[in-house]
Amino acid sequence: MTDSLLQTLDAVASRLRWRRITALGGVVASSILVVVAVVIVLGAILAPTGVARWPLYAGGVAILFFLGYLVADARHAVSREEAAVAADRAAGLQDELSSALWFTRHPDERSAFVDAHLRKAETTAAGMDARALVPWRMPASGWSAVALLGVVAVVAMLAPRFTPHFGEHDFAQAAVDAAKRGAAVAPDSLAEDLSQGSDAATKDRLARTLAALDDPKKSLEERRKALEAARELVAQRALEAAAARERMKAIAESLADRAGYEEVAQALKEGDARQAADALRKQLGTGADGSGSERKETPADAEAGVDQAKVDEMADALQAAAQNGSSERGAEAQRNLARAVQNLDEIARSVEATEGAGHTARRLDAMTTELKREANLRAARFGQRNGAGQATPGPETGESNMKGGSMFRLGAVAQERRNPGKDSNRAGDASGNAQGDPVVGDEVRRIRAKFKRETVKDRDSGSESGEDSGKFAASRAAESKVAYRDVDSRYRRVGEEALSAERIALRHRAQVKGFFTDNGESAQ
Amino acid sequence: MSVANVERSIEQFRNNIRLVREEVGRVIVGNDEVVDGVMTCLLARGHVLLEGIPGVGKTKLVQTLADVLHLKFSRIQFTPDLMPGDIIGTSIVREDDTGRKFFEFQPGPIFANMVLADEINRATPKTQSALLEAMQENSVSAGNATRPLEQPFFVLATMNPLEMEGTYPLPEAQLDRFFFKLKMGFPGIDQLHQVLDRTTQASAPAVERTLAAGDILAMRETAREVPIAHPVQDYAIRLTLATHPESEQAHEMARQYVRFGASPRGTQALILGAKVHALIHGRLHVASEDIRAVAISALRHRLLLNFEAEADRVDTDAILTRILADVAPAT
Repeated sequence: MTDSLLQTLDAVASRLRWRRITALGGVVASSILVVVAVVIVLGAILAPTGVARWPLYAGGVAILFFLGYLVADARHAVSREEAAVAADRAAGLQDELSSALWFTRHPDERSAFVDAHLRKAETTAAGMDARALVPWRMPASGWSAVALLGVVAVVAMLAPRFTPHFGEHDFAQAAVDAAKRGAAVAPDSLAEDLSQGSDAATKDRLARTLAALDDPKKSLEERRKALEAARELVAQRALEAAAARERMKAIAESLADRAGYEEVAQALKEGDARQAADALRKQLGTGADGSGSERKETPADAEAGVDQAKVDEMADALQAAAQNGSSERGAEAQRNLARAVQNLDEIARSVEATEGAGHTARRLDAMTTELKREANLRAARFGQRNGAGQATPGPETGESNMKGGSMFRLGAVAQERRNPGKDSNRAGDASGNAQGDPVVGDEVRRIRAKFKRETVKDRDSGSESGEDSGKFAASRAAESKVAYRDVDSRYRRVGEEALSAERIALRHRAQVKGFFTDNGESAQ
Repeated sequence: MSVANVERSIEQFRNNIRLVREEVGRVIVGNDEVVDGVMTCLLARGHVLLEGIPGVGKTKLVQTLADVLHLKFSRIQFTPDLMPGDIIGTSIVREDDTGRKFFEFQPGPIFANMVLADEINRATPKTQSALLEAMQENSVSAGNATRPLEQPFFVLATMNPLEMEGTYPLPEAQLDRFFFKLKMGFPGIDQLHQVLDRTTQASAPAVERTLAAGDILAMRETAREVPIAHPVQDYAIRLTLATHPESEQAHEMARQYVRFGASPRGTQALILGAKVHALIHGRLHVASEDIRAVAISALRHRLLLNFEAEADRVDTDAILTRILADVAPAT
């Protein structure tokens, strides 16, 4: 008899359950979004400190709690009684279904009226649609969640502004990152130079420099020193090559008027030792191809830079050969030429080995500059983290505010000097590795006294005008002598007295009686 | 009783109510809620206390109802010198044909189906108490005999809230015996027009007698049959307990302003009144809405307010309205 009623109530209960889950889901989502917003803001505020991750952990715990609550709630089903009440309210049935459900569960209450009521409720339930009774709609909490999503997005965008020293922080950090990126590119180009060829000593130095740059344990200062050493060596090699070319140019000028040496002089003038050696080989009759194996030597075979002694020896041999060649071509001339060719080959190898030195030197210079910039930026960043603008102002550091920055830093140094027990230098390391400045001063205390202006006769000033001078003195405010609860109980007592039959407080009865008695008499 | 009979009796019930309303409506303008309240009291075996300023039609309503219901009607004008014997009757010495003297009981005006106790608060408490037994037990004790009153017995008392001089406020025990306390308000402009049209012309509107005593007794039986589920009954109980300042379920306002809450008789009035209300509105069961509809009329005269309430000018209607707003209906 009550099948339709129960089926309808079950359907309504199911939809109510999902609606409840949806609504709670919206609440949970809203709560989670609020937590996320708070975590973002707190994370931004606490970014410079060591506790920046704590809000993240707390937020994670809170989110887990909310999700757990949602899961626990979702497991609870909606009872038929709740469904009946909801259906009655939705359809305006005035407790018809809930009363009918109660009567179905209490058969001892059955009567003709109850049967009639159940029949009516059954008919009503059969014509009901659970979907119409409990339509799905976005719960208010869902809209709240959507709104909060927007809030979180805005908060996420604005979060960096909540960070202390927001402006300096961003620019300085960006500059540091850029410098790091530049420094990271430079070693790659250096490695390329290394693979293309240098002399053995230069290769060794570059290899050690690269190792120093790649080592994360190396400090900026150590990396800077390694770069400096490599740069000096490369510069030395470039200098030697330049000197050799100058000398070859001078030799070319001396050979310019010697017949048969025009080609050699032209090659030396151009600084091409290899071509000059080939021209001399032609004169010797061995031909350019005769030294093919030597020509295939790579610059990497050179042990060191251009040896100036070999250049001198080559010049002497060539001059001697040229002088002999003008009278006769004897064995002496052949030996001198052979010696000159040999020296020229060695010079050519050394010069070719140092050809890339200029390029490598420029790269090393660039790397040194990047390293210096990073050091400066780190120092600036260090200053910002310690609560004051301490870096040298300038576009590179991102620091534009000079307010007391240097003074605070000096103060920190002075504070350190008063504690000579520690060996480390906590302040003053320009590379940015210095520790934080110590906190100076007591914590701020709020002054509890409340001052008010009081007028006092200023007799000591001896002013003839007799004007009063204003002084500030602590206020004379004191705690109430009567506690509020005493007042309250007194009031209660009056009320209780009034609860007597006459409804007049005991203390007022005489007056009331007198009032009516007098009125009566006066009226008469 | 079969289901079909139930539906038939309910239909008859509603039809009778409709007839009474129509007939009363020919004389009484507006005040439909008061008419329904009076009928609810009559059908729930209760008595009604009508309160209103002079001239709003309290007495006229009762007289009209008596005409419509075809019941034995008597009117008692309560005055300070009215004595209990004037109400319940007295034994007088009579003499038969043989000259033998004997006492004979002369029934008072209370021996009627519908008694109008006009301006009940003008009589002394002693006289007012003469109604107590009649209202509760439906019987009258006079001399050595207890005499039952004819059913249906229905007392309608009227009271003027303005004039307090020379009056005797009804004691709580007597107030509690009234099923409902109904307040008649002042009519609006349109209603006043209708009142003037009906009462200032040559012909006064007449009503027909529609219901006899038997009909009313049958309707009373039908009303008692209406079932009420316990969740709804629980709502009525929670409402009553909310008026008790010492109760755990007491409403905040009751704790502050009420000295004594409604009696169990008040809860009975809630349930019985709700049953009649449900039938009037065509329901086969009592709903929370029925309880709410009769709550103020059934409970307003059963709350005893404290000094603080009088000082703050808070009346029982305000307290009950707050309680009805705050106590959740049946769930």
